Amino acid sequence: MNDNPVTETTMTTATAPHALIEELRSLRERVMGVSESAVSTADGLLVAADTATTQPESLAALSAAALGLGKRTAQEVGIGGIRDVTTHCNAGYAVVLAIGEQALLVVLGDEGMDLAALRRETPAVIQRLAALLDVRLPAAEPGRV
Amino acid sequence: MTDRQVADPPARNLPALLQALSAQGFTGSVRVHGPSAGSLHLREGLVTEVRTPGAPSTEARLLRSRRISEEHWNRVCAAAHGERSLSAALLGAGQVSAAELAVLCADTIHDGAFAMALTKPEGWETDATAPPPGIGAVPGIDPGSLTEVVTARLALLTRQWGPPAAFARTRIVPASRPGAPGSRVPPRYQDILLSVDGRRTPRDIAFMLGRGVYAVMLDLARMKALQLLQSETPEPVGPAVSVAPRSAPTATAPPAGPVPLPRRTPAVAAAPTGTPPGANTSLLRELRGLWSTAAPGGDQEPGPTRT
Repeated sequence: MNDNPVTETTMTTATAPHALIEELRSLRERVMGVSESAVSTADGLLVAADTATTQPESLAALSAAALGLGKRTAQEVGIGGIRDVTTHCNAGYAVVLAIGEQALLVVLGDEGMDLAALRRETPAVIQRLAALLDVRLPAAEPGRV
Repeated sequence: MTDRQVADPPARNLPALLQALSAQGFTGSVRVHGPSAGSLHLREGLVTEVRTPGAPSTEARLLRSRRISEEHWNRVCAAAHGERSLSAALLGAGQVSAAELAVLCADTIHDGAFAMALTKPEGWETDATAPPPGIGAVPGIDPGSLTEVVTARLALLTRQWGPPAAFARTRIVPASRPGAPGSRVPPRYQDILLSVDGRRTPRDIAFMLGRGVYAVMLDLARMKALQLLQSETPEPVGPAVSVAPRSAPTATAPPAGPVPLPRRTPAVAAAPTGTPPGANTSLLRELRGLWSTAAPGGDQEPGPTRT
């Protein structure tokens, strides 16, 4: 932590990532129970979102924090590389998946969300999102839930 | 096939398989693969539970309908251990009567089977060692009767709306001017109207309200007849997506190729050069003095680091 105040944050891109949005919308169509999703940078800046009721910027920031905490926990206790961070609640799920080292995908769903279908779909979705964002993926299998 | 599975009786479709298993007095589960995946649990040939992402479970219906609070549900889960099933713990807590639970379990089975019947299964496998459901119907529902109910429901919805499979995929939108002037909308319809947003399917609405998918679809079909809903499904109203460019949008077309990731950039300068109108000038001078003393390198601008 530096003592110097950094009081303002700006995003350097103003492009409308239509292809990203279509990818997120398509995921909602293909996996039963997916309600909302978002892509953000690893440090929590929103890139694109397919949301209705959730505040997407808050979702992006919290997802980055959750993924960072999950990675740090996995590292500390020595249980291998992280696959995802899943928050399972009484009324639904929040699943955060890394897109390489620079970005992440967060998927929200109700309690009936088809997790098996999400497991099937996410590796390919992560690959496509990484290509759209020009993010390099590690050699290991990406996006496993 | 693993050794945990029994040899599946030859069957041309799922109802035929269930009938054959019922005749054998089968106890265990049938896992169904395909777009409407799920599992059915049988005890001595009777269906005691259907679990599918396509329809709310008994637990979801109890919680989402607020029939039972999350706090009470957590207590019930804590009380269910060992031989004591979730059903016994639920009844023991006195939150739900035995009759009410029996009706709910039966309706959940019918609803789950209905949701699974909306698409053709790609395959199935049986598992005779699957554990019994936490909340299951007692004694269970005969597979023949279950098939009859599901067939009747599909036929009714086909008459009232159209092909049920397409209906199930429809994203429902409310009518722009709902209902006839002076018409009164029942509370049940009002709940649905508050849930439809152009993104949710009937299944999503059922989960949201803690109701059965079939009951919601039937209400939607009636609401369509009352002109409370639009007959076709247009694209979601307004931008479904919120992208947050924090800099002023420009009129130039977005560049082709990969989407650049946004980056955090440092603040311009921490110490303002001017003084806002009405500002406490002496306090500002004091703060600027403190800042130039505390900041490394005197009065230089802060570096590009995050806090």
